[in-house]
Amino acid sequence: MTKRRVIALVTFLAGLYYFLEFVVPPTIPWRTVRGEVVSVSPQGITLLVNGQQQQIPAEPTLKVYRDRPTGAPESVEPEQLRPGDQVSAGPTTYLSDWLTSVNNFFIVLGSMAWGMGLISLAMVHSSNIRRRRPEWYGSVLFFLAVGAGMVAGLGYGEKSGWLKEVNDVVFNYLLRPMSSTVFSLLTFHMATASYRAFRVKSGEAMLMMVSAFIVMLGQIPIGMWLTHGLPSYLQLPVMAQWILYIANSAAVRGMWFGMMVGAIAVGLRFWLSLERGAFFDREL
Amino acid sequence: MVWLARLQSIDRRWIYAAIWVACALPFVVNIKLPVYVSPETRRLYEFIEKCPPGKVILVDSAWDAGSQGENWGQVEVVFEHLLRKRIPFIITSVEITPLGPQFADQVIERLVREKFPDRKYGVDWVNLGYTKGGWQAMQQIAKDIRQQYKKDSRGYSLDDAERLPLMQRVRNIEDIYLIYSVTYSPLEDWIAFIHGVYGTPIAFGCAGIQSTTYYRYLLSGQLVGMLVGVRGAAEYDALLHPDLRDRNSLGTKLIVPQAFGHLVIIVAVILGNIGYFAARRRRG
Amino acid sequence: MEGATTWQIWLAAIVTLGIYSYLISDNKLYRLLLNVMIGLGVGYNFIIMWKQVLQPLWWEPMTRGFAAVFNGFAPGSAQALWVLVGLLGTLWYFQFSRKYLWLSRIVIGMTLGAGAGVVFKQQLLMNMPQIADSFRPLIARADGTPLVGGSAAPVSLWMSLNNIIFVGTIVCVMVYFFFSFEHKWAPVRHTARLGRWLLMVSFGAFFGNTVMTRMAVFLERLQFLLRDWLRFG
Repeated sequence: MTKRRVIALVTFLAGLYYFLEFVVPPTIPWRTVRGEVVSVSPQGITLLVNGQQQQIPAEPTLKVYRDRPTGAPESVEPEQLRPGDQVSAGPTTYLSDWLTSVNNFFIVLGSMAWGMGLISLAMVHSSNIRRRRPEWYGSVLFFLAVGAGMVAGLGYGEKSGWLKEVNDVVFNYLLRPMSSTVFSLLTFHMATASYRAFRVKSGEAMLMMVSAFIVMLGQIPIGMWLTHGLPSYLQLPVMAQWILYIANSAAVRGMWFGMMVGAIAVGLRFWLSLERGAFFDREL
Repeated sequence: MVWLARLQSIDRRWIYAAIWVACALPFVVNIKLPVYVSPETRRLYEFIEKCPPGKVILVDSAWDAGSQGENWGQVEVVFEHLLRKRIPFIITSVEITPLGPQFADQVIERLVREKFPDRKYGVDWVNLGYTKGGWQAMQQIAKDIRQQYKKDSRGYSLDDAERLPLMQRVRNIEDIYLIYSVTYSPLEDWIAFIHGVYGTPIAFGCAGIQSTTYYRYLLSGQLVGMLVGVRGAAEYDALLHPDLRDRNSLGTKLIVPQAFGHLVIIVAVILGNIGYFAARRRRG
Repeated sequence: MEGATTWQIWLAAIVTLGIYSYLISDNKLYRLLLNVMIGLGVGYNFIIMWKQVLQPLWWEPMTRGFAAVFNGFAPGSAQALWVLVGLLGTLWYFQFSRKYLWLSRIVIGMTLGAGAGVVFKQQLLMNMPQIADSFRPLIARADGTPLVGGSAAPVSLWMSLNNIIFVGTIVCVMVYFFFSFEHKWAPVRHTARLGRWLLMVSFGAFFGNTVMTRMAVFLERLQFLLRDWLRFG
């Protein structure tokens, strides 16, 4: 039980910072002053607030945010201000100040898991070799390839030398073609799946097929060539664009608004450790 | 009618062969066809055309071999545009894959060798390499790029004014005019954490399959433009080179074979349905 | 492939065709090449992760910090604290231990918690402009402004029709996916049914774009085989 509490606590604290950083203003609200800059001096900033001048003293905790035409206000040093700038100034809540350090922490922490994939695969393949399972020599090749990949990785960024040559050969003439070819097998799977499974058994399937054909033909030169003599609203590229911009975008938005609520709900469950399932209910 | 019913059970290897032959034909008999330029491609082109002096474009080249058929062309045409107009750019890959920046290097090497021999690394472009952290890395880049990158992909310090003069005027998001994220499925976190907070324009170069979920961002103005799959690259090439004979990007090379491939899929679906309905009629 | 020598092109072509041999039938060569590909990828990415991420962001600051500590706690000594992050990071590897598995759940929890904490910001920043843009005038002028309070542009039938379809689609699709109550009431039932039909148009677009993507990967390989290897065209 204590273990679960520790895990729930660290989960909550990790999320709490980012949640507070979003909802809490960067400066203490009841001590923040908003106005137009009149002048700046080493002693502080003079702002025009509701027609009256107000002096904001320069303190170590002072944070100044200047409005921008687009986007959120930017954090600036008092020396960077010019008369006429619209600013809000007040004591910092420190949350935004720590953002860089907290981000660095999580980036490095997440990156520490980088050996997990290699160890998992090594365990599987070494077991294959130990037990002489069928095609165990494939696992031997795997380990040789890992070694070759590591040597090639050492050549990344090198300007010359044998490491660079190895990097070039492994990256350009082995890794790239093989990865690309494995992905391209999906082309054929997709073709046979379309041929076998795409059956127009209902009005909805017919509508889906018509939409698919318009989009497929409208995005290739043949679609333009077939219908170039027709009025613009009957040309395949124009019809395809209409489907993508209006019909498709609206449907995707409808789905995504629901997903937004779902994402927030699931996020809340993870954050408060309310999530259940095989992973979360496992005996610790 | 029996042979009609058999159309729904053609051996899959005949379909594979049809795809190979149909797609190989335009490579053997060199065919070029005009393309219809979509609004999202044109918007990106025009936005880059308006880049003011002193600003830099950040290219998140986060694709790997699995999507190089689409992303290589998308990166190639935009790099050509940037090199032609001498708009400096920075390459990185945030989170998705470490291989993207290396691919980008190869694209640029070819462009510089063939078309822009006077462009220099460190002056016209810099490759910062791969970084991890997703939305956290994006926040770091926005606040202070040196928080996330100490050196570039070649090992030069970002503060090395002699080797990387470009980086001496790039500190944070204020110096970036546009973020162009090119990968199979660009991270929507760019829209949330960069455009949403700082208002920095974002553009995507994505796989066709993912583009259907991104059109909604074009309508709301959260994306300034988008290159969709092979056709996006071909369309951008058409804007760069109005004369068909001057186009030789990967997008232009693949768009006609793509068209033939689409026709094979359409014919396969139609044949499968003819066979299905014929068999259904035979059964009663 | 510029700059490639003949043996390099042949190497790439052999591995490409070896993997395509799967299309005829599953075979040993294909499975061996898969093992090689996975091994190369894992080994390569392992080193890149170290060189590009862990070394500059963790190892170098930490060693500089320790150098400052041994130099009489000179400025920058605080960076030695990165060693604690390293120790915390080793907890990931307790995933492989049955007895101490719960230790790995600490770092998993921290990572999940951080992601969950930021989801509010992420979803709201991404979707609020979407929600605002979805409120479109059903009778619109040619420049998209509403009939009342808009510009002097003439009323556009096409723009109005598009907006009606757009807003209608969003509402119908949201009603279709609302499963909290049963769709018994006729207006709700019919709206949900219309939403399903409108979703079919979207799924057709998804399918069309899927074909485009899958085809593109193959075409790049085909181009290599025909142009670079066999020198056709």
